[in-house]
Amino acid sequence: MELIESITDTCRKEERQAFDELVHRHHKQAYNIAYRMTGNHTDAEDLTQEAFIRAFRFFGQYRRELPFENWLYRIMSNVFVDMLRRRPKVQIRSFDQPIQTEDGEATMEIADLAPTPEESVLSNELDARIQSALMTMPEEFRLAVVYADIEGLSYEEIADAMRCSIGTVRSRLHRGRKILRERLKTYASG
Amino acid sequence: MNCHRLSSLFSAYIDGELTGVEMIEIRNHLEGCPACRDELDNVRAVKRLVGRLRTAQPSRDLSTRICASLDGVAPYSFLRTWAALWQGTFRKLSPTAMAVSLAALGMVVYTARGIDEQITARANAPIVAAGPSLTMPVAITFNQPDSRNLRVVFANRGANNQPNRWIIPASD
Ligand SMILES: [Zn+2]
Repeated sequence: MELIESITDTCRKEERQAFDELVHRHHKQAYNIAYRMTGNHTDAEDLTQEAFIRAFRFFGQYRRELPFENWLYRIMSNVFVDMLRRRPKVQIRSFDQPIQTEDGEATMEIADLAPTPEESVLSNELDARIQSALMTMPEEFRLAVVYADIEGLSYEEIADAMRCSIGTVRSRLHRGRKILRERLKTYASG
Repeated sequence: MNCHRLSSLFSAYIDGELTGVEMIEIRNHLEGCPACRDELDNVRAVKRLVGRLRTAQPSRDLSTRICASLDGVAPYSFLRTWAALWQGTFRKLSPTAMAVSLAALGMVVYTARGIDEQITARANAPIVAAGPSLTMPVAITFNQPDSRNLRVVFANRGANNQPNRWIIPASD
């Protein structure tokens, strides 16, 4: 029995080493997404850590033909939703309010905010503005926007990560971007 | 097509997620509608803004902390193997493979003690007489990338002092 235990132990150690390697390789990317989802460093680190713990726990369910990131996205979406459920809402929002279409003037302002192709990274100030605009939208819209525009996922991949239909992804992105534009317009004109 | 209905597709349009027909429809409309072209520019600008956000950096020791926190975590992989076997993997196996995995299953349940407290079943350790190099299977995992192939690890060691392993392919 000792022998059997030592072999089982070896297998477990091998699996653990493989997983540690995945943590080192993917934690920065995971943290970045988590940061954009939660909007702050502490929650982002908690979310990242919790996601990896859950991934490890269910590592046996991970289908190896799928990229590890895609599997991690799915877990992160779940952990994020659980996290929100556990915590009292900080902001009170009314999601059902229709968003007004903006006039031509605002149109110009937002287009002006966008960096030219040469500017690869935004200024701190603009970065903070966009993040706070992200925080004002419903979480499922925010997640869709983060996956699409930061991670560059296809609608199919987002649907998989968020466990919803492609049609839902389409509508979340449409509405999410509309909200963003509206918020950024307010900032720009104010 | 009217501008309002069309603009609801702009988001998917810039993501390249529309059907060919819809794409063409939009392109044709845009040619004659400056208002929609502005609208589209806006959606595109929003997408570009989000895409240019800085990459947020975690604390330097985050990955180390995550790995350390895994020490107390028990993976469910053995449970999964067990469940998958019950759920009909057998049907895909040849009779020999099935016999071996059935025997191995007993061992998995045995070795899973303590790994996952959810498994309470006990089984006697069966002896598999499938060849001179094979004795007691101690673990079954799915072989990658085809998860239908089972990898059985046996208790004895081969020439290189590695545990003997046997890949059981899924039969058709
Ligand atoms: Zn139009």
